[in-house]
Amino acid sequence: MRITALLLALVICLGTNALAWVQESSENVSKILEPIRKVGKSGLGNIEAQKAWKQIANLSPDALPEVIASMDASQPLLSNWLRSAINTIVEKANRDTKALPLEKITALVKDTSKPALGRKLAFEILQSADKDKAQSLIPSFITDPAAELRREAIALLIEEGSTQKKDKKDSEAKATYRKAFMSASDKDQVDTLAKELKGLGETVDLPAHFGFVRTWYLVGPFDNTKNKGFDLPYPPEKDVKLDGSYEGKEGAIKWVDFTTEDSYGVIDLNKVLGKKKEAIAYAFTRINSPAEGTVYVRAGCITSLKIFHDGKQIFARDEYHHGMTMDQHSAPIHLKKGVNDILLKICQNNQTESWAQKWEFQLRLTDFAGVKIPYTIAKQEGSAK
Amino acid sequence: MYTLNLTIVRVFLSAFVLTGILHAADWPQFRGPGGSAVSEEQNLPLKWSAAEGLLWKTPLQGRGLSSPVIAGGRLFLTSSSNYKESRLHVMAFDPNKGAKLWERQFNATGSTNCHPKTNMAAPTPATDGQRIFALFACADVAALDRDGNLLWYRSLALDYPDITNMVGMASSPVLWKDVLIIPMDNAGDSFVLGIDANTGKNLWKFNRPRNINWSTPLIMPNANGTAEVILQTDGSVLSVDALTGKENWSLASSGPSTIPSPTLGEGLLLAPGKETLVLSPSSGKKVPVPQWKSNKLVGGYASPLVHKGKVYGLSSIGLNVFDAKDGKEVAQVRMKGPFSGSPIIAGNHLYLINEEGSAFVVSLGEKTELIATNEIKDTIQCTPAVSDGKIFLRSDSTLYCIGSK
Repeated sequence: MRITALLLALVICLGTNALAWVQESSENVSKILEPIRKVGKSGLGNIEAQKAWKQIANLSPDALPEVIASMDASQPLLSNWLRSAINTIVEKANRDTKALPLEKITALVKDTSKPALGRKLAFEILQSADKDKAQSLIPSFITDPAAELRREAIALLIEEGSTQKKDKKDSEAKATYRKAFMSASDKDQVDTLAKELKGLGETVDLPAHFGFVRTWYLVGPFDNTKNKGFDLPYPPEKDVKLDGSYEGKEGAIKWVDFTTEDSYGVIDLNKVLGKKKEAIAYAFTRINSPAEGTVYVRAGCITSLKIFHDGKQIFARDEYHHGMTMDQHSAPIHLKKGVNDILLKICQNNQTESWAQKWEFQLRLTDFAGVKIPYTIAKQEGSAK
Repeated sequence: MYTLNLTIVRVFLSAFVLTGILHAADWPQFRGPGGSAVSEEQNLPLKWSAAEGLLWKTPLQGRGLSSPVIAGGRLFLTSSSNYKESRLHVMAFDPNKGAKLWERQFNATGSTNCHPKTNMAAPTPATDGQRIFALFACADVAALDRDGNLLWYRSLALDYPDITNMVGMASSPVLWKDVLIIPMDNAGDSFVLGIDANTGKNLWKFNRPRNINWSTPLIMPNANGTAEVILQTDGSVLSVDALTGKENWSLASSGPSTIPSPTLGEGLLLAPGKETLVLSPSSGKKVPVPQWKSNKLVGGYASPLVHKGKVYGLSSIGLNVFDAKDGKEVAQVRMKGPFSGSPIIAGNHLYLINEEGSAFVVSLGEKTELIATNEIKDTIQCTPAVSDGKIFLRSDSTLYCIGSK
């Protein structure tokens, strides 16, 4: 009797699981996604999305390619709702030994027109289901627009180069490392490759590779007593007069033309303008863009920073001496074809600790994935307004 | 206002429904029940090593400093992975066998900049056994049910773009009934949120000084069924009402610091720091009265605790023990740091683990003495969790269960 009851329970369980898979047409999948697409700031639409999430999580694995392809980095909330639902579908499919639509998932990984975020997740699903198949795709990612997929291909080349170096095949190793270097954009991989290439006698121009702006006009110090200067629009924020002078914190100040030799494009303001506390410096550059389009300004700065593009503030972060890393700040800007002005406001506070004396910044221009964009430094003279 | 009142009433009513889900053996938040770091568990293991005394261990994807939390027969844990620590993980395990029951992943929507020692999974999640609330250092908050179904998601970085802490945030969320308290003290838009645990929407927002702070809020229940949220930072300790976010009292003092967390035990409220304040709290708006102070109760990142008439805390030399009544130092036990986690007490033993994985077990009987040093030989930065006769630890690569059943 007890065994019969257990068997019955098992049948019910299996039946429930089988019923748990819901097959939906493409049109219906899109409809189910709607409440999640509407999720907004401050928790808006969370309850409606909660119901939709359960529907998505119960979809048959056949719906995976469509759901995955709906992820998009430009919609981070939508993508996170979907990612966790996709995790659930895959987990259930693995538990019930239900096949995943690997051909369609592979096709999605290969389709560079689809959003990078979803393609990377599709690749991860493929990796866990068919490791060899996933591995075979990696070399093709070397010029992929998806940075996370490109990273896989670069890692593979770094490994290959290392083997070639161990086997004393230096010229092959150089070619392998160079190929990887050309595509690499993540700092850790670029640094590894630069070190290997230099070790093999190759020349590497790191600032050019990363797209750092090396040439700047600098002026300062302006007053930043009690950190109040951050919100005070000093004259350069209204009109950059490269041949003019301003009344600064310690008297008349003029723009100084400076080009950094630092490998990561770091401008040390203490060296150029003198060691100042409670001070503000401005940095100005004019670039020539060969095309119009949205790019990303990526900056590192250990103190408070504002960034302006053609006179309009595009970024502000008021934080002092909590660390500086490359690309720690990022903001999109829409470059116009031709001349574009970039102005930075770099603040310094009054902290006296030895670790709180740096006053420096770095800035580069990249695409969404962190790869440098083409630009040249334009001729800079007179007023920039 | 009408909406807020309705929401508050609903939260208050649903609180009665949910009361009683947690059990004595649970470890539902950072530093366990009520953030006290004291468990009612008895007879926990005293000796173990990497080779002996482990019931199970399981590899983890991603790093983390957060502690495991255990309730309703499940262990929940967070981690972060990827080159830029941008992948966030929430996982559930069977605490008896170590099997992973589910894992959900998210992408960080806020800044992942932080000191290399920490990462996005520094805050410890909070659970009531039915739901798990995971806060990450990038200001993402995920609420899931015990089976891994997503209940709601908040990107506080999208909601409040001026949040900034380049060192990395680590304060943990705490749950009072249906109000989820999210600490977000930082150098930019700095605040603490009271969030409706059912909907993810704000109930209240309490503005804080623009200062980075890793201290976890403390829930101080009152006899009338209400509760206070105790917040501390460099220079002050204060209380806000858990349901409304209105300030009850504030005490300015140079004592409390930004790393250790306030603790409540045996009628004493500890606001730890350079000079730990030991206060005698009373409910409502009355400012608590300092009973005694000590500059020997905080070492490293650890928070002190109260147990059976004594206050335990770390200093540069190891464990210091004080009489809870008058602050008289009664014992000292030398131990080798550094310590990222805090000491906990279960039964009549204090457990403390340094960053190299050396676990010190101190007997709290007539004599306070070190009775075992257990080497796990792994980097441990979390505070241990205990439940159902077992001790749980996490390193950057492994989740360990120490126990015998």
